[in-house]
Amino acid sequence: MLLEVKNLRVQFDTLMGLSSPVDGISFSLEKGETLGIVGESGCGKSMSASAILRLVPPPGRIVDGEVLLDGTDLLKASAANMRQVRGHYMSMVLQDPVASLNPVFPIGNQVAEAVTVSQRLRRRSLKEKVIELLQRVRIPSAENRIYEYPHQMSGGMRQRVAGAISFASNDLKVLIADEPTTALDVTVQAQYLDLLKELQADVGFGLIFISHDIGAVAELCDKVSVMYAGKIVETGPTRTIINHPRHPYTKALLDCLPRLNEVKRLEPIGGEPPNPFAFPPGCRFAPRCPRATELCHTQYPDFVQIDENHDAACWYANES
Amino acid sequence: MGNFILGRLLQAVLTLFVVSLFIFLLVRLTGDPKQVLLPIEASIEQYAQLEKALGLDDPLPEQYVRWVGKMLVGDFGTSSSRQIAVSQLLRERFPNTLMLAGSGFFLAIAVGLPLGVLSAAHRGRGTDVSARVFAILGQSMPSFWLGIMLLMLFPVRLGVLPAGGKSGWTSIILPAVTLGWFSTASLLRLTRSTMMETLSSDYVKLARIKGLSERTVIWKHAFKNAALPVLTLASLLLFGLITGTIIAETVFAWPGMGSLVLSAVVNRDFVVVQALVIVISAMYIFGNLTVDILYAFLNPRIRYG
Ligand SMILES: Nc1ncnc2c1ncn2[C@@H]1O[C@H](COP(=O)(O)OP(=O)(O)OP(=O)(O)O)[C@@H](O)[C@H]1O
Ligand SMILES: [Mg+2]
Repeated sequence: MLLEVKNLRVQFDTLMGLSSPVDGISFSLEKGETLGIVGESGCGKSMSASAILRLVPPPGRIVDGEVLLDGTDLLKASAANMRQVRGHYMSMVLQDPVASLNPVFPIGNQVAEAVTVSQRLRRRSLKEKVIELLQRVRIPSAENRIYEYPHQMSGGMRQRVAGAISFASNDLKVLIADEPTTALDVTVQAQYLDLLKELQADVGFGLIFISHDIGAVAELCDKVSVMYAGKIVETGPTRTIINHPRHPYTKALLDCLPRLNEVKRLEPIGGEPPNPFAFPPGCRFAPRCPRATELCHTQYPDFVQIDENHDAACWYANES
Repeated sequence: MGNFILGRLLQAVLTLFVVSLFIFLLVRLTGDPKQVLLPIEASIEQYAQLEKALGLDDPLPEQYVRWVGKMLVGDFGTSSSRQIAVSQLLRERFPNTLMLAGSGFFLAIAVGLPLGVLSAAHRGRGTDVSARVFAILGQSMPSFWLGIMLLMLFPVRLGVLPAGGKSGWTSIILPAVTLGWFSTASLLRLTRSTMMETLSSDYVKLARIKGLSERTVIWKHAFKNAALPVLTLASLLLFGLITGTIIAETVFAWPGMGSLVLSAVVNRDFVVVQALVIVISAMYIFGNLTVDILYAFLNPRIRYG
């Protein structure tokens, strides 16, 4: 197994009290595989991604769990080793890649920096490598653009630069893409997804693809985990999740997300996700669930195995 | 870039022109220097003679042009209370003030800046708490009181460091601390808050994702962005320090411009006042110009905007 996340929990101790935006999530990823993570805004997708790279912003802390990369627990690694892991094996495209470029350095400089962490190159070959990376993400006349500052480029171009940075390493094993396309217009989005697929086929890294866009998930992902209020509520192969969801939240989510090639009335989920400072004691979806019972309101359901690779955390997962 | 610098330079010269005009008129509006220069029992002839000698009977535009022309060649007139050339006075006093202000500024940069960065990088921990106490002390103690306390503690109680005057390099320590602690505290606090902001930005997160060392992340990625506002404040502080040495100079009998300004105002020595105000304004204006240009070098958005 390439990456295994077990019972990962992030806690914030703030003036408003304790909150756990990521509350014991587990999943795994094979080499070359793509895992989609979907869920409403605020359910903890980005925070999970940050936690995997051990970059939870203070005062947040990882309080429990394991993140095993090739069997080694990253949560126990030293800070220096963790930097090595980030520089060589794991990378991430941030949710707002446009803001992730430093405004005061030329972009070539910023890509080069990522390259030098994992490779020792002379000046000339470093420049060539930077240009090659930029060409790989289809930045036209890359050799001239390396001297440009982020504010001189369009959003789409900056997105690509952020992409180039994320796979600057030659031995990339895991790439996390946090809603990489939400900030882009539709045609650019499609191009970007193609690019991502192509690179994955080339390099063979495992991809964690965080998205709101079920169409993109269907196109790209082998399997999907659905997150709700800091927990994963259902995991399964993409086809199965889309066609035969078992968790009521997954169903509700599918009903309200726009699907590709399908004209359907969108039905927003009633109610709001719970406040992370006061999660309900039982199933966290119970207050919004049409079929919640007394049991749902008082006890958190364990995962029910539906198929070999399909699990859902619902008391009634087997009933529909 | 060339155009940008040229434009700012013209602007600075124009500002200085307006300021000089203003000073020129203001000094002539607020009283008659002849009455101060001459004893009460002076005769009308003596008044007329002095007026002629100082050129005060010429039309104002002519006086102004002559005044500016002389200043351009370094002639600032003669002090009426001390009977020596103002340029001579400036030459004696200015380096001392500059040295004192420079030491205060050095203190602010050498202590306030790194402490501010460390404080932000280790927020909530020991370094941060001590740095903040240090800053609060600096900003809440009035400098005359701080000066007197330092005087009582070091030279008087402990018998170390000179109590006043300018003698050897140790004599600058106490006036520099008195002058510079407040600025150190301001710089520390601003550095801390801007660093907190840049440290939580996405580009700092990306720098960490790249696997860069914490030192590179903090000093290159976060600090270079925080440097813009910090630099602005630092430059303002520098001029504040140069022009705000009166108290420290008085408490520690430091022979600088601060005491000169004070006595010139008290004696209505208008030639000296005029000269000091124009020199200080020029420093301020060209100092700001330097900052603007530095700023443009640091911030590509201004350069191309
Ligand atoms: N710095 C922070 N301090 C405290 N709580 C935080 C902080 N950052 C995020 N959170 C909380 O963590 C939870 C999860 O946020 P996260 O950004 O992971 O959501 P998300 O699923 O990525 O949403 P989106 O789809 O909008 O990106 C939210 O409830 C948010 O309030
Ligand atoms: Mg997010």
